[in-house]
Amino acid sequence: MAAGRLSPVTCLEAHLDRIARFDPLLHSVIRLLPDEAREAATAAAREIAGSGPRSPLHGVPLGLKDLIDLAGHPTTCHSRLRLDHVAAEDAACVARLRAAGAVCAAKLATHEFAIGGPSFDLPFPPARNPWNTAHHPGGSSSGSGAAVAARLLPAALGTDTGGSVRHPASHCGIVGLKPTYGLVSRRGVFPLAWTLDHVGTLARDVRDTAALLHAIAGPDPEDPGSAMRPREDYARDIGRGVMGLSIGFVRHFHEQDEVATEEVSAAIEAAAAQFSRLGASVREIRLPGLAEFAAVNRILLGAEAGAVHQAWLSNQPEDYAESTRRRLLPGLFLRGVDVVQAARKRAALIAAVEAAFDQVDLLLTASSLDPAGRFDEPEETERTYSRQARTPFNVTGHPAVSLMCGLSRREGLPLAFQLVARGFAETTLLRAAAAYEDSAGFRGARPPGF
Amino acid sequence: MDEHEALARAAGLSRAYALSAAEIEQAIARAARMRAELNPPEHAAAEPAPAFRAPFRSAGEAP
Repeated sequence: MAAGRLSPVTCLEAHLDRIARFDPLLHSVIRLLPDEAREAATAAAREIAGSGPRSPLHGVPLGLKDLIDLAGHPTTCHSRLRLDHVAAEDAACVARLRAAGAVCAAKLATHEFAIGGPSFDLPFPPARNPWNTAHHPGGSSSGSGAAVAARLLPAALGTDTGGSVRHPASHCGIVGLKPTYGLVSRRGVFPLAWTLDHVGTLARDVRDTAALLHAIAGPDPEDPGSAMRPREDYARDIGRGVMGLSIGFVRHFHEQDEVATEEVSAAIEAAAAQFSRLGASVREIRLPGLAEFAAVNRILLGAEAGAVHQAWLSNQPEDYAESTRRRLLPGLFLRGVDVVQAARKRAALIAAVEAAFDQVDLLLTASSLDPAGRFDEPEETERTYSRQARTPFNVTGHPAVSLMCGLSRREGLPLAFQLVARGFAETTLLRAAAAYEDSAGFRGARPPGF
Repeated sequence: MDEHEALARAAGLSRAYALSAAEIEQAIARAARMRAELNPPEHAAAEPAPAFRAPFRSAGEAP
């Protein structure tokens, strides 16, 4: 687009065509915004021709998880409780995307309020996995993962409170980034749990991820969780490789705390070996067990989400999907002392992860411990949904990115691992992620038929 | 009124209890499990993490 070889209008129309053709199979889009997007793409084309692009995102069509406010449009949260809601203003991250010249083309499916599972008792059907539509795409940023993987949109924003960006990214074979807590404003994003919520990115590769993060990061005085530090050029170290970096391999997460399937475990081992071949120093390191992190996340998330939903649960409980209600109700039976104990434990867990970063530059862990489950096996999906190693870094706030590292033999579904960095070290995180991506052969992996 | 119904009422969930008493009973049991699964710090004076700030060092800062 910057060179004038592709018009934003042509790019948008190509993606709208793909949405029309493929989304009936995937249900990733809740609301398509063709008129508004065409207007924005036309304006972008004019501006790029006249004065050049504002950013690498200028004229690029993007999707937004439908928890994120887009002025003048409903933010449904995939719920019948929010069908009539219309956002008065753009969320801070959307305003920043627009300032970078991006074109907001669609609101995308989620699990209800980012907490339910794949449900069929909601106003919109659940998104499906483009690698195999009999399987779920992960969640809760399910539409974002499915749409980006199927090339319906070049990239999308999601939210991540217990892994909800990295989960669909892992199951859909794309790159999912949860930035450091506070780096991206949450203002205008419907909360699940304020102290654990992060806005993150889902993109086809690490370079796109860096461009997206650059667009949306930065301080926001109106977000009480915002970190008052300027954004950086997160792509500046991409291409430097990993020579000189030390990586702590948290093998016990998927070998002892919860045992990953054999092929997931083998794919993670192969990723660790790849970093060694690239020149990083990889050694095993121990953190507190997954159950310790999960226990803290459950209580804080339960109590905070309970506060968000208390009035609706009291007055309109029947308007939730059954699975959402089941996940939300326990939070209303927690005690004040439970929440404080969880916050005390959280401090200890943060300190433990910080101590690990005294020894290494990055952590390498599992993401999901199983390939994505089938829609027609809800009990298996329920069992495997929580078998993951993403939640620890919602508890601690460290930045984490999930990357594809294989395909399951039987179903041909993506497998993934996770890299984690020190707080606000996204530049190092994406440097290492790009080195892996450039060498491992999974960039550009595309679901058959899409 | 049994204990579960009383707890539901105290939590403002009378309507949800009428919709499904079983869901409320499961939620109460789940909250108890969540409490039991948490091992709080042993030191009685250990401080909680601040709510809206991940209190780690930034990249490049000294410990």
